[in-house]
Amino acid sequence: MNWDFIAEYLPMYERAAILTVKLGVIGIVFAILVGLICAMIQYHKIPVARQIVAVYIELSRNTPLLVQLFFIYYGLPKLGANLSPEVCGIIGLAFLGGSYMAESFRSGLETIAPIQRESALSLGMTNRQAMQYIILPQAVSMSVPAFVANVIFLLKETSVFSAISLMDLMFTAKDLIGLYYKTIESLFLLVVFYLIILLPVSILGSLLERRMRHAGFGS
Amino acid sequence: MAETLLTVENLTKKFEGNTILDGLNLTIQRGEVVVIVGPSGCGKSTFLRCINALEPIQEGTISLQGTPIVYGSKNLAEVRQKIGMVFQSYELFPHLTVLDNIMLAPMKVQKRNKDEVKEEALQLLDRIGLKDKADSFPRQLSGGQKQRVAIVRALCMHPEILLFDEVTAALDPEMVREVLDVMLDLAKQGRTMIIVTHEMQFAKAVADRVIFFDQGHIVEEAAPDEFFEHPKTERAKQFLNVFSFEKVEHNK
Amino acid sequence: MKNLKKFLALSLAVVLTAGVTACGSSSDNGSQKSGKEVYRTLDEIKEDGTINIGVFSDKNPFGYVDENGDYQGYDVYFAERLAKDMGVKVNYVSTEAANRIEYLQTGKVDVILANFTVTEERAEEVDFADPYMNVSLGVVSKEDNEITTLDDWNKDDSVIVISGTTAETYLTKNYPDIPLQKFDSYATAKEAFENGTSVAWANDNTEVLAFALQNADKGYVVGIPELGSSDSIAPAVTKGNDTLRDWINEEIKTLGEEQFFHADYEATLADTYGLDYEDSLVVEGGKKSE
Repeated sequence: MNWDFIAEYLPMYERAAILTVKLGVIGIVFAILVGLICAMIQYHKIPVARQIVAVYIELSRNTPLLVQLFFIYYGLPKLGANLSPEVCGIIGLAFLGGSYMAESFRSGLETIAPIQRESALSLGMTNRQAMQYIILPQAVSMSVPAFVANVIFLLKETSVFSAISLMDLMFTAKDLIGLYYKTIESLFLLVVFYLIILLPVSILGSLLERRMRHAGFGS
Repeated sequence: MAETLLTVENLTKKFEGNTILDGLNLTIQRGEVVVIVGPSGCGKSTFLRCINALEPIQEGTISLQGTPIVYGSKNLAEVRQKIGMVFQSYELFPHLTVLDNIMLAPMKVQKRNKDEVKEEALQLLDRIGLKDKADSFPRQLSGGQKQRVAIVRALCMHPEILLFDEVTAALDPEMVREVLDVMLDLAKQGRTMIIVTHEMQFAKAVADRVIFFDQGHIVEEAAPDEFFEHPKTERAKQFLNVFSFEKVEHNK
Repeated sequence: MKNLKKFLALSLAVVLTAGVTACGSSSDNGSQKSGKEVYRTLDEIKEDGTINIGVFSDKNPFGYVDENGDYQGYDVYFAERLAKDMGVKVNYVSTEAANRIEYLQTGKVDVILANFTVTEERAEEVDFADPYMNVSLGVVSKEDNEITTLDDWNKDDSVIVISGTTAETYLTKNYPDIPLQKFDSYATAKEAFENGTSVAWANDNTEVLAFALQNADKGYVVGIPELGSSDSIAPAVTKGNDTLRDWINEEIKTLGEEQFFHADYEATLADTYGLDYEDSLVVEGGKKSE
């Protein structure tokens, strides 16, 4: 193992890791927003919007992120929209992640028995108040396991960013191998950095799940 | 002359072609305790839910102190503040403490001062002997405790009228009593209550008026003594028979 | 407790990975794994009846897939003849520039005929046979913003390169301040160039010229027709696979007698370049003319 090589190119991996995390986090945040909006639309059965959401979910869950990125990065410019690879990456994650988040939130919402909502309304709460104080908090805590799984999934999916010229961890490793042929060292750093990113997420996720379980279920 | 609190006129509810409630008429005066009894599926719970606009109706009107109660209307939240409802499944909010369960609506809906609400909430809890559970979560309480908290939660909103939907049906016998005791106390205080129940002894003790429902109609309506000792209609007699047993001779 | 277990499990994975890789590596001098060799000898290939050849599937006109799904190109034309003379069938393996060496080092292919430029660093990792083509680097840009030099580079502009090519190495080493947009395949690099995200694409001059000629209507121009050193393209085999390498060298020498690579040019490249470049591009008999 050539430790000099590892030391020399560690900064490249750091940069790539930061890029991966940065784009991953921004993409995931947007995915959560998209997911919440879609879940609410479906829960409230808003006409027209809910059909659009249903189509969107089927479309994005049944196409790979790579395909979606290709469309956004290589296809959109043909229609005149030239976006930077970073923006495309974020859009791709938000698009794909949004549908996964939507499904997680929706199933969380549906687990809350309608009568729980009725008891909130009976106390004089408006629909919005019932949603904000009673339904949503419970739905969110029920969605946590699925949510954490989605976050980890999306972070791992960032490895396809190489296809649109983003120097993420995967591409960095591939590129260095292509330039300097130090396969072992390059892959070793790749694994280490993915662990550095994913392990804390996984642990935080477990902690979050445990805390949320305190919300308790069953009256 | 007592004030008329709730007026129900010609209430009809249909569902999937079936008539659940058929042209009901009812008035409730302030301070009255009305108990509704009847066989399963006769529409008693549905009736309560209609009063609270949790169900749409096809015909008829419901009004509380002159204000119409209309399913889906914009002023429902406001009207519902005056109606307190307690459910068979308690429906406490599992993610909030007992105290927060009670304080949430008064603070957020009625915009009352936090300290004032907290003081009242603790007083109410104390009255039912659960002050020490203020910071517990619903899952840490027994069924009877949860139901009593649910009642207190409804009370804290200062409702004009209270609706009880078979609130002891899911409880073990020992816990049934502690809940019924709370309700008796409320009746003594002069609260206006509509109670749907199977607890006949309790009904006899607490009611000013007993209403017997069957298949969506009010079949009989009388003072408790009258109804339980001298039911007038066949259906009522049949129903009450269900609750009495003759001694069984064992074959030896 | 669950988190502690997770942490330990994953740390163990990292340590094991490091251990295994440390034991199995001698990355300074290339690929040799201890124990059984990774490559197949000439006889093993002949016995199997099929040779695995790594080629490009998107580097027109050197290695690409046509509308019928068949491999075509200057490299492929040679591959076909090589297999025929060896008496075996060809299994084409599509490679990317960056994984050509890996494929040889892991035995995924027997020979790389993916327009592979000979360099010293690469020669440490794989064994090259004799050359069959000349090449240098070139830069293509759009005629409304023709790039004729890499000096005094405007930092807001970037150059497209493909990961694992000599163009990438050259620019990284000699013009480290020029921002590079890296792609992992010819297909995506060309798409990006067309979309205009960078001002130029640097690659083998033969390739950029072909690209410009094939897209004449789009106003692509090769502003820098020769960059860097004059190199050659040669087949590559796994390090130590002497039997195969020697056979290929013999084959190239023999083919020189019939001017095979000139015929190859005329069959696969003339449509794109015309005949002007034939003599400068082709290397016959494994010997460069200069």
